[in-house]
Amino acid sequence: MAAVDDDATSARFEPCRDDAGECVLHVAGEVDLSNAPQLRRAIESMRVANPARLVLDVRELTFMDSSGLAVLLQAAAKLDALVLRHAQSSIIRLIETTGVTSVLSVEP
Amino acid sequence: MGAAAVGGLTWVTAWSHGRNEQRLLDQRVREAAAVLVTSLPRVQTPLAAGAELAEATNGDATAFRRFATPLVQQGAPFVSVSLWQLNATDPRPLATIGQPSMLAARSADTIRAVLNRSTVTTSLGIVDLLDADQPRLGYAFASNQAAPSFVAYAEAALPPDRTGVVQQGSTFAGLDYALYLGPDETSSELLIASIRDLPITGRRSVQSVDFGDSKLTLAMRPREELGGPVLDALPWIIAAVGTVLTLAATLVTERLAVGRRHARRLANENQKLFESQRDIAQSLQRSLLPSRLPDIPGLEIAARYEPGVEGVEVGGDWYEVIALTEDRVMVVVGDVSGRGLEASAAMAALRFASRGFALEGHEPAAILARLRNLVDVERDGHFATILIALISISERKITFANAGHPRPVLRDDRGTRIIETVAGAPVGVASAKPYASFTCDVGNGATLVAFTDGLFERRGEMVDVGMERVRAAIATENRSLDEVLSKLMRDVATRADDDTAIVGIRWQQ
Repeated sequence: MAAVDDDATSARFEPCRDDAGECVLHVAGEVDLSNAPQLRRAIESMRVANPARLVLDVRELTFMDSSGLAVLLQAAAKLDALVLRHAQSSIIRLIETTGVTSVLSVEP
Repeated sequence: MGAAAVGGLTWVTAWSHGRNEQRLLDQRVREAAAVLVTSLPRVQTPLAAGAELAEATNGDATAFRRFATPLVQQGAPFVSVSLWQLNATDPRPLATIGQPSMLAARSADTIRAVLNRSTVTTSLGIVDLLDADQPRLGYAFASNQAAPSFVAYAEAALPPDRTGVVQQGSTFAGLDYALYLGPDETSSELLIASIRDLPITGRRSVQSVDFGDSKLTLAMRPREELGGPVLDALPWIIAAVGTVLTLAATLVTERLAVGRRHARRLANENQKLFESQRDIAQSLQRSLLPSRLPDIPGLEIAARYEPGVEGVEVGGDWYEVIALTEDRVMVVVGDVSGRGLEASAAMAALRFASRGFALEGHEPAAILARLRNLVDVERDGHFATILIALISISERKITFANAGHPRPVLRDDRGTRIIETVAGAPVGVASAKPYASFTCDVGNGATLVAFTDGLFERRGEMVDVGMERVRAAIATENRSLDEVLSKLMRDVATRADDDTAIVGIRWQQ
């Protein structure tokens, strides 16, 4: 799938393989109401490959609002595990203060 | 539901190109239909809350009666509200408030069919009682829980001659209209019309929209050229439908009228349309918020709500202040993720249900636990963060429970601090962990400020930095509570694209 750029808010959603060969979705930029549907579609296409586990590499994700979080939580409800890898501290604090640490796993 | 409104709004942007009368007319009808649909949550949410209450109390008739009594008072939406048990061999209402239910006079088979139908739809079951001498519309709602046992049911009265009053000389006088229940213009299904000679013929526009598990069909025809502001017809339609379906639209109508006058002054036609559309969204949102705050001796209460200015869709922020007794007050602040009519409907359901559970005497944590059934992020794509504070005025105590919501700020003679409420999962997100309560004592002249994330959230910034901005603003504003909230709105709330709601409570010295 090609990288998607949004008009209103800049974000990229790119499937890649990590060092261990696992398929990972790179999410970069800012995710909000304007591009949350694109994140949903990107996650859905990832779930075709692996319906049980999804890893998002979010090292370049700088902002996510509640619409973006809703997409992650909806996906997590359908998966055994949704892992956020390399999350910036602002994203980790968002997950902590929203009380969803038990739903979204954060990996260094 | 949201798609109809979004479609209408998308259309607006294209409107400046090659407009003609038919397109204008189509546009009016589409907007009117969208507004009719947006009125539905105001019928659905009290019944949804009533149904949840019945499930929570195992059909306690007294509790339901207390809850439903305001729904049949003058100016309220219904003439009759009743509670029914599912799967009864001889179905009879467990409780009836207001006039006798017309449904109760129908055959047992008909009643069973109506009740069962409401369990298979997640929206409102619409019951056709138009064949009676005093025609009514019935609305049935069963809890969305796995195996509901009860149905909350209400009836609204239609005028017997089904004719809507047209205000002569008003800007509304330019359109003929007819509104039907169902997918087409069937004469026996007429709800209301401005003329007796039906169906409407000539240059006309017809639009059908989903209405609960049924449909509404609106037909309109202009009596003259459609020159004026596009939204002129809307307040009248809302008012007419408000009469018919008694959807308590007065507030919206008033605000729309104000918005229209404001819009007229704007020179640019497109700008005018955009402003008006946004005003509809905002009016609907505001109509779902408390119209006034309770008067409570010993407490000063203030609130603010500002919709995000960039979007035209309805947001999901809300607040509520409930006087439980002379000495106990409950404050609820919440935020449904996303925007649009579905978010707003979820917000309304949560607001009504939390109010119902609060009046039942439940503690904050227990209320959050009970609200969990109303939203499901897996099913709906929405979740809600909610903070509930139970205030004991004379004891100077506040008990909090928090479902993933931004923490509140407290200022008293010991300083200004962020209250470290333990955040449980948001409502709608499955979690095995129960909600925890947290009680704190407050000092002299304490001020509690609770808010939604629109107040402090900034891109690329830690939540804590934004929270500190809020805390510092409260710490340095020594004037009235109203000034504190004004300052927060003016100096701290900088994001234009998100809703912001704030509630402030201050103990009077």
